Amino acid sequence: GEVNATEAPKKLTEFLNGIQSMQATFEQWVMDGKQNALQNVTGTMWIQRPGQFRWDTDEPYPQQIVSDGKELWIYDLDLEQATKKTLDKQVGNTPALLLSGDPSKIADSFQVTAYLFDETGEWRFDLRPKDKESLFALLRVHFYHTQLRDMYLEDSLGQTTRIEFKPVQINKPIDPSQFKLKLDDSVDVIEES
Amino acid sequence: CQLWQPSQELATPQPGQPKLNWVAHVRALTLLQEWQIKGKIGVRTSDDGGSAYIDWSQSFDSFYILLSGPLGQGSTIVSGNPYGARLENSEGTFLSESPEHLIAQHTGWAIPIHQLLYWIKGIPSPHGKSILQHNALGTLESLQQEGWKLEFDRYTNVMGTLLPQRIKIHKEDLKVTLIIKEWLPLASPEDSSEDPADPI
Repeated sequence: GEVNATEAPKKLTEFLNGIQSMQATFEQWVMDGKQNALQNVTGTMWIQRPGQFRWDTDEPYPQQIVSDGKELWIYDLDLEQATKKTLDKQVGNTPALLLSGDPSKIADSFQVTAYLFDETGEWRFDLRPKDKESLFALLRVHFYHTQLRDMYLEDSLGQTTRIEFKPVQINKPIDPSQFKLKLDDSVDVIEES
Repeated sequence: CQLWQPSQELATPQPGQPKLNWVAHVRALTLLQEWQIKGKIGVRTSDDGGSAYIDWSQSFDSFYILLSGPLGQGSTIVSGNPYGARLENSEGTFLSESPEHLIAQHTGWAIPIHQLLYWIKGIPSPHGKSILQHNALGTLESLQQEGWKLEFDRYTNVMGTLLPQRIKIHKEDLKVTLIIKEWLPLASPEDSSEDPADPI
C-alpha cells in the first residue's frame, strides 16, 4: 500500500545507500506524446559512490555520459563532440545521477512518494521535481528486493522514457579509470563555464 | 515497439559505376517533399555546445522537428508551415512567424531551417548563390551558400537515391554536425501513426 510522506524519502535513501556500486546493462525506450517509438537503445551503466557515474549507449547512437559528481561529460562518438558541464544542483540535471548522487539531498530537490506492492514485495518511488524548470515532470524508480529494476521518466510534453536494468555486478569495487573519458584528438571538446 | 531498422549501408563509389546525373538528381530530390529522418545533431560555438536526438518529418511545406536529450529528456518540438512556427519545451509553447527566430531565441543557436530543408537532402537551397564541389559518386562533397560552408562526409543508398548520412555545417564560430541514422519515406498519417508497431 501507500507509504506515508515522511517514510518515503527515507526508504528511497535506504535503497540507494544499499547500492554502493553497480554495473548493469540497460535497454531504453523513448516514446513521444502520441506513443510513437522514437528511440530504442541499449547500453551499460556503472555507478560508484560517492558521485561516480557512467552511462554508455551502444550503436546506432554511441554516446558516453560520465560524471565524477562535480562535472558531467557528454561525449557523442558519432558527432566527434564532447561537452563538459559543471553539476549545479546536487542531483544534477540527469535523472540517472540520482543513482550516484547523495541520497540525503533527494528530499531537497524532489517530492517523493512511495508505494509497496504487498504481494510481490516491489517498491515504487515517484519523484516529482520541486523546481518547475526541471527537464522532467516525473521520475519513477522500481526496486525489487533492494535491486534497482527500472526507471521511467515523463516530461512536460508527454514524452516518456523507460529504462530496464539487468545487473551485472553489485557492490563490488569498480576501477576508477572506468569513470575517466578517453577522447581521441579528433574530438571537439567544449568546456562550458 | 518499432522494429529497429538495420543501419542503412554506406554508399561507396564502385569502379566503373556511372557518375549520377547531377541535374536529374537535384530535380528528383527537389520533388522528394515527404520524408522523415532520425538521427543526432551536435551544435557548438567557441564556449557552448550541445547534442540531441533529432526526429524530423517534412510534408511539403510543413515540418515537425523533435529534439530530445540523453535519457529522452529536455525535449523540444519545433513545428511549422509557411504561415508560422511553434516551439514547445518544458517552459511552454511559443509562436513566431519564423522557426529560425524561435530556435535562436530558445536554444541560442541560429539554425537555418529553410536552407537545411534542402541541404539535408544533399542539394543546395534554391535561394541564393552556391559554390558546389562533387565527389566520386557525383553527389555533393562540399557546398558554400549564404555564408555557410557544408561538408557532406557520408552518403547512403536509400529510397532509390543517394542521401547524406553525415553533414558538417559551419558559419563563423557556429558548427553544426548532423548525423542521419535513418531516412524514411513519410508514411501517410493514416497508416503509420495509427499502429505504432507497424515496422516502417
